[in-house]
Amino acid sequence: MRTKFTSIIMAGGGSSRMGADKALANIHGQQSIQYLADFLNVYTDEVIVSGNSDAYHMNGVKVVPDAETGRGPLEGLHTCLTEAAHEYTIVVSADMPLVDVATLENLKTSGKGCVYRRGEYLMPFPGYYPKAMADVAKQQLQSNERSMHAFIEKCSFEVLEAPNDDTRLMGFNTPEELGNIVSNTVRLQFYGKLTEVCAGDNHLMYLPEHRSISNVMVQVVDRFPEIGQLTTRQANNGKVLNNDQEVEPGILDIMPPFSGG
Amino acid sequence: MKSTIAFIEGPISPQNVTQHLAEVSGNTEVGGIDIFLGNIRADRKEEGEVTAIDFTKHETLAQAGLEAISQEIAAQFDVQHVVILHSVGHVKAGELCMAVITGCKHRKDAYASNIEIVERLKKEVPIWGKELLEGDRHVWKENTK
Repeated sequence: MRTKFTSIIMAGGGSSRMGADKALANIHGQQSIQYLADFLNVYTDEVIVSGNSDAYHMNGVKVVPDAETGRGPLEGLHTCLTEAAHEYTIVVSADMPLVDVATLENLKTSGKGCVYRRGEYLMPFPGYYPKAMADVAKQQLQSNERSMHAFIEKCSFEVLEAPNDDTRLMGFNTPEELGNIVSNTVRLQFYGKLTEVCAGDNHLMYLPEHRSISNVMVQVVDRFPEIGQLTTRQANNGKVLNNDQEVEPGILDIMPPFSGG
Repeated sequence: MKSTIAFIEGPISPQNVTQHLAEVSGNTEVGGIDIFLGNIRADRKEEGEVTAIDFTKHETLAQAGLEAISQEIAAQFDVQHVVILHSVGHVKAGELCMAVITGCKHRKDAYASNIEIVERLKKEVPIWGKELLEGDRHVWKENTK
């Protein structure tokens, strides 16, 4: 039987450098947190949002405020691991809206926890956290040690090396960093049967260096292989693309064969 | 040329069709009228019988696509009046989902322009049909014929 997973979206940060709630940041007409919630609802069996805002209430998610406030992400993680319905959890951060299923699948390497390291920097999220680690988190919080890094070391996590240029692990802390994501990404919108077959992975995609539609579609098909079997048409920001035109940041419509009439 | 292009939520009622037909008929430049009506057929597929189709469209490109076809048809044939209606949403078997009325000076243009609009609509306009089957199943409609 397939192992069931809970996913946890960490949205409780202070967003002090951003000046506004990062989870609700607008990226091509959709909030950062919504990109994650949409595909995690299909990819996993339960979605929990760690945070205190009413704005996090979305279809299919359970919002869990910290049991005690002001104690950082480890408190939020502890509360959500305790609430999780399943033994294994995938934890992502609401300010890293580009993670995809392949990034998360890599983390499921063993029964232990697993996170990425980029150079010297250990990234707590996205991560694979067994629910049983809630007890370790609780003990650590009781001794007033709030560091996520200390927690990861204590639990002997497996650590995967992430390439420096992996845009799927890109996050934002400032309006400038958010602007960089907005100006280099497309929100994929699917139609017809693709609404079903493409629901299980992230619709926010960082554009490749060469942005011709054929090059962009190679990347789209890599993420959504079912599209490769269909002849699709594309539109970018409301205009149909022809003759291998360049894709601009914004909305990229992927349309399967039409079937009106 | 006069034109009416509209997406209708749910089925297109026969009364709606006759109202549009009356408008085309009242156009004194028109000498021949052709009408095509698309009806939901209770198709028997391997997976089960079709009970209804849920239609969706691209919000902006579907309307733009129909308007472009309408204008190009007017340049190709002597069309005085055209009506194109298509359903979005839920349409049950035995109900109308499409109506194309072409009013021309002469019958041959009315026939030919009507066929051209229907064929181009099926190929070029971003509309999708989800065929609902008995037993809470569905397949996606494919325009093969």
